[in-house]
Amino acid sequence: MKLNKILLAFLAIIFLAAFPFLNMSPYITRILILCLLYALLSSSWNILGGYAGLISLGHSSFFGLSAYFVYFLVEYFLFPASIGLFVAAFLSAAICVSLFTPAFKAKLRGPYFILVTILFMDVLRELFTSFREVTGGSFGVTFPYYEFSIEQLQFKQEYFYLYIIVCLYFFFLFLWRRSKRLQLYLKVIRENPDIAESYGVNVVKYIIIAALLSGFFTGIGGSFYMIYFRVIDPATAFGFEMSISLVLMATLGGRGTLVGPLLGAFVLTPISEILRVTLGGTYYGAHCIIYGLLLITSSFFLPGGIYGELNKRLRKK
Amino acid sequence: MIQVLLQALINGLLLGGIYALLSLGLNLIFGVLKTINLAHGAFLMVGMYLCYFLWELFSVDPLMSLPIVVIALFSLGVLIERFIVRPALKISPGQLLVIIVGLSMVIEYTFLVLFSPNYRYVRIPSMVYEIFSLRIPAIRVVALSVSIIASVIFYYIISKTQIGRIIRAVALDRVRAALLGINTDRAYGISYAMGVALCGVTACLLTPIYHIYPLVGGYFIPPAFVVCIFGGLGNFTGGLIAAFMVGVIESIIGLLYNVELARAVTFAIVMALLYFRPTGLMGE
Repeated sequence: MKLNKILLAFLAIIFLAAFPFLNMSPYITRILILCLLYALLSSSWNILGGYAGLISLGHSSFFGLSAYFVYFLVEYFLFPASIGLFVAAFLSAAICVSLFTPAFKAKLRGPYFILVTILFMDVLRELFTSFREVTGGSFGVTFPYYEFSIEQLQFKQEYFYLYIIVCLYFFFLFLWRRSKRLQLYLKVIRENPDIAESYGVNVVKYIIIAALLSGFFTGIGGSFYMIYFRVIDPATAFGFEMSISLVLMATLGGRGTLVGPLLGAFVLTPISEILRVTLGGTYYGAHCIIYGLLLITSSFFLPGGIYGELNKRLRKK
Repeated sequence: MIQVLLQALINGLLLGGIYALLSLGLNLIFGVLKTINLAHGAFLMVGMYLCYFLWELFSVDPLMSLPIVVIALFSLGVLIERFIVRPALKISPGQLLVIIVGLSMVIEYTFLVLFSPNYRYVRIPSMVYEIFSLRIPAIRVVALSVSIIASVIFYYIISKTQIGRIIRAVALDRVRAALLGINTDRAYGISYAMGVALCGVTACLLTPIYHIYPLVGGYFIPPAFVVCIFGGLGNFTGGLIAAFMVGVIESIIGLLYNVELARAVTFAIVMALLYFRPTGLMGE
């Protein structure tokens, strides 16, 4: 088992090292980057939605906040983007904690919790559209452009971004793999917070940690998005589409598992990209129809997601 | 200044009628099915397109098409309850919300692909009353009065008829209602369909006032949620009062600053309210 993992890691490193020499088209590289970005975002949704059972349908608020924060930090406070990435993520993590912990303490569950998250996203969208002088209104903002700069994380070659997002994802994996106790407690809290508390689990503490991690990695995804695409507007940043994509990827892959969101992201992102390319501008929105259909069918027929189903099949044999 | 504020007040009241109807439907569905109908906006949009095409192809006045749209949406609601909501509730109630979101995405984006995101209008010349130099468009007055009439009819159905009694019983306690021999599945179906039909009424009132595009639900539904929470989820009277309050607040702040800020403020107030009084202002 251990040997397998080392072998896998070795192969991954070789693949990454050989990547610049494979001469892949920038488009393929871009899809790979998007897959990993969505995997990171959806994994961080999964911490709260999958493990802790606090389903947030407005998780793109932290994504968007962080994307705007990194812009403000670089533009107004003259941070280098490489540091701004983490600072912005910390800020959005702090906001995530200050939103979710009181909601959890106030015993907002189910529909009420979901309403809070959706409303928060709507508030942010309206605010960022409203203050045109600072946030550029509904046109959004564009990141300053540098030809080539390591500290600003701007490169001509796409594969540098691939390396960055791989590093960020491994950072997440590293932290998450070490927190077995947190995962266990979150699952207990998901099943029944009151009973968990009566057994001596410090419920609020673990929810705070979960919200912190979730907000932080959603934020990292958001700042990376901003640095990579260099443009963001309120409709993308605080839109329902992004939030739903995160939920869908985790649901399709398997909620409450580590592999699930990764699987979901790698299945869905290429589908949506292919649809976008083949149908393009004439039928914009076709990928959202597929998303919706998948959301319905996977909830009906694959309650455990792809990963859960695979696990069940393998165990039966 | 006072006159401007008065004008905003009147606009707010007229807007409140729209929110009231939407929140009535949401409240009914929440009261019985114990779930937020996140597809409400999609149904509103379907109703508006239906209204638009009736006007465009057969030149039926939006108000005249009200019965057609209501019946169409009622049947749509029955179908969706029967084939999506009911099986979802049986398999996993927790997944229902996500499934409904998926459903609303499918509906909205299908319309987007079919009818393009372009704005469409139903232009009907309408007279404008002027009272003490306050301008009141007749079409909005009609909308307000129709929404009040619709709410009164809705109240009558809920409080006086047999179906209403069944719905209230199921909302109170599903298991006991079933033990008393009530067909709870049918009550679920009827209340869901009634909620959707109320979207149809709203759609007919909105069509001559607002432009029609596939994601129009995203504009009207968040305030409707706000209204529901303000008045307490599942509380009809509270919702009705809150609808007019939210409409007035939104239109006054919108006049003084801008509409986006107005919405942000109302949403933020309601979020804060959720933390401290999840049952709403008028809740017990």
